[in-house]
Amino acid sequence: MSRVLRPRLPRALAGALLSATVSCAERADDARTATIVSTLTDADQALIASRQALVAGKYARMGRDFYGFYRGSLALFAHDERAPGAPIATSRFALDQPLVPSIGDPHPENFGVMWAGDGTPALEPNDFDAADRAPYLRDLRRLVAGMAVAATVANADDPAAQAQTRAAARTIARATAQGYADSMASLAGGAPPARIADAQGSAYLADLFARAVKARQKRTELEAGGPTQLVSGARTLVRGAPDPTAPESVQADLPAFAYAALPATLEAYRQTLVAPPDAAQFTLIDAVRVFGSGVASWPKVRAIVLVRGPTDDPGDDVLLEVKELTDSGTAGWWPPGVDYPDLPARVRGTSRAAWARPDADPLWGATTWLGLPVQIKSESEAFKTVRTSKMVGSIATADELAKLGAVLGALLARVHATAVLRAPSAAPAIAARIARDRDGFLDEQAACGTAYAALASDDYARFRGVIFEHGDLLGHVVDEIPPAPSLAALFGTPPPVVPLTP
Amino acid sequence: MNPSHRTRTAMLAVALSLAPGVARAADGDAPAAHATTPAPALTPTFTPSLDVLAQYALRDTRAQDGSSSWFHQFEVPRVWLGLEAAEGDVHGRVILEGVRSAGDGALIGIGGDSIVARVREAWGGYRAFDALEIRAGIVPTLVIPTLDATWALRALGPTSLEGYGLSSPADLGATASYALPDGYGAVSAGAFNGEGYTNRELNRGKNSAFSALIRPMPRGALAPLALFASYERGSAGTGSSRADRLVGAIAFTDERVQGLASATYAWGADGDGARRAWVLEAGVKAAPIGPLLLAARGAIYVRDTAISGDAVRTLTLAVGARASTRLEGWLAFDRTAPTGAARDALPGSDNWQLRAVARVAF
Repeated sequence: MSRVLRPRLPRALAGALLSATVSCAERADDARTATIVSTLTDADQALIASRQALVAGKYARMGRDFYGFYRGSLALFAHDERAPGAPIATSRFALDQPLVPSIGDPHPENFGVMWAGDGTPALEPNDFDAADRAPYLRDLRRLVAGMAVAATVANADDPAAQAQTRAAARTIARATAQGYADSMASLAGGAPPARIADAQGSAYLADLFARAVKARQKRTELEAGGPTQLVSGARTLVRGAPDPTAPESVQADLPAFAYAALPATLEAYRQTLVAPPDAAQFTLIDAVRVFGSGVASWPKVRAIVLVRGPTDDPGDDVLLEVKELTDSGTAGWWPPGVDYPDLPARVRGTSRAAWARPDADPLWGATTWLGLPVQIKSESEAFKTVRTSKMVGSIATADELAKLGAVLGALLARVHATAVLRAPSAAPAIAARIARDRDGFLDEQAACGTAYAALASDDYARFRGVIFEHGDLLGHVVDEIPPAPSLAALFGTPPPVVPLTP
Repeated sequence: MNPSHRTRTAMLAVALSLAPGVARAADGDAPAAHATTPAPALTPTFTPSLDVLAQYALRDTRAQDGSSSWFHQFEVPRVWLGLEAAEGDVHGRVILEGVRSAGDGALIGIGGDSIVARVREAWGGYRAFDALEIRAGIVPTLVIPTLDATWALRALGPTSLEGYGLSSPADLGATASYALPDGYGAVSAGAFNGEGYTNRELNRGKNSAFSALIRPMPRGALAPLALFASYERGSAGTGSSRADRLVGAIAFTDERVQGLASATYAWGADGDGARRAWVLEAGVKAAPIGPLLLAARGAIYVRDTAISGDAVRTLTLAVGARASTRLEGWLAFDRTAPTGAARDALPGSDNWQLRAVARVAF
């Protein structure tokens, strides 16, 4: 048989090959859409493998509004900054060394008012999920583009006002870069790092601080209709959706083993605080698993913990947020690629370096819970975050957004100028780089930020198209790997995803 | 068969043995004798293998402001432990490799960032007609294993094709190879998931590939010459980005000199199906006197043909010694230099490196 078949083998092989070549590959029609889908799902691969329902919730949340998409698509930004020809991939002012203490994802909604240990408020970065060390321009461009995106979505209910802020997106982006450049020059010249304890002339920030003060005075988070309830003089956490208009934001029972592990976690966490309060303050009263919070962090394990506070009076009970930590996705620029021994150390180190004072939130710490790295911080309505949904009316004119951008830019410069991990401050090197052509620097960042915001807007439309065509998992076809029963119980069952409206 | 021809044949056999399924064809020229000799009783054979690369590397990285910083560390770029089993025409191979459990810049790993074992190859194969071999499982792909084996410089680093993530050396799939008569080489075809052996399949598209390794004159002075070509049509990622590769190479594998020049054109790179990129790479390894080894390798990777000057160039110069057939050592100098926009987009890529490398292989 071999003598008969052998001469025919090459032809048979070639035939099979040609057939396979033309028939097997199934490729996307639109290359950019494919890049968006592949990049986002690749970054979420570990989460998709074990908790697809939660990732579906994240993508649905990203598809709900443009700013939500920008918040959830840091992985795409990171991809684009390395892509040939992308607007954020090149610069005349690039400086890959020294690395700065990076916030990682400093878009405007990752800043907010925080209350320090002495009871005073200040504007600070308040999200360190992606924080690590990175080149300065990465952070700055993320912020500048974020302000351009904010200019696009501000004044959502007022088309005329929105048209004005959209038209001013480049000016707002430039003002953000200018705030950064001016502050960096000042810091490089020896000026002390400034704590932003007031509105700095920004109407938006004035409103933010005012709302923060009011919420602190009223302890809004403990009021009826919030996450807690007071029954017979005892406070507990609500089960279900505290806000009926937000059915995806749900509080559910924790598995018993997870609840039982909380006291040890709280004690370990307490010891990571800058000035640990008495252990009795962290006496556990109640805890719930929380679904439907954040955007990028939507799939992460999150819990709200109710602890005793200074006294047994339910009026001074304290709420803490426990959130799973994952890798930053920001590190790896220079050997050895990592600068912290573990995730809790990364978050403690980056946050305290970023703040004007290490106890900007005196209850901000990081430890582990059932082996899961977690960050624990104040869950309080007094900690008001910058929200694009609040950018409306007189506090969100083009001029006001430019002022806000300038303050956030200056704040980012302060973070970058901080000396960390035995490395000197990067301020002189960055300031010198910018000083080569300051106006050119501002123009470049403004152009880059607005160009990327425009690209992100197109990407958002593509992303929504993928959801409508392929579903909330963007066509991801791989089956979930069932997690261990205990882990599955901790992940929980999220409420159904609210479908997008066309 | 004279000694030099035996040497050349042995070298080609090494190259072909890593290409899918043609090892037997390179072993000898006696298929007819097999057809007339009564088959002996079959007994399974098991052949273990081990390949360890250990190195000390000192890297100096140049920043965009002209400053530089250095870092040094001991590394194990490759730890392989394999077992091949065969009985008659049926055989299979499993290779375990050691790999860091956390990726670059990651803090979540296994036991810190331990080096853990993962499956690099796991395939079953069948040889038919003394010329055709079919393999299925986690199989070597068609290009990188062949290039690696041909120029025998894996101790100094992976091919640029692998280093820049344009192709994977192994994948889940199946291959079929046909050894051309009289030592003229082999043609191969394969179908793969397309995500490489380190990832699950992420889309419905399957990669299909073919290659041909041709020795135009398997006898005589030009017997060491081989030509290689490969085309792969594929997709990558959940978004099914286009990822097609065309590779051409010319190789010279003599007793004392091995050289290879290759060119790769990529439709789609780094998850962007619209990008067009190419890689040129050339290297030579020589054993001029006794145990002395000399090697040089250079490559240029143009990341996007639409962007002028966006490229990364690499050069490796090395001197080494072969203590035995199992042990060789190298001192190597590497230079990586990004140009144009690549310098901004790839911080840390402008560097030089000194390495002391030892390789033990059984």
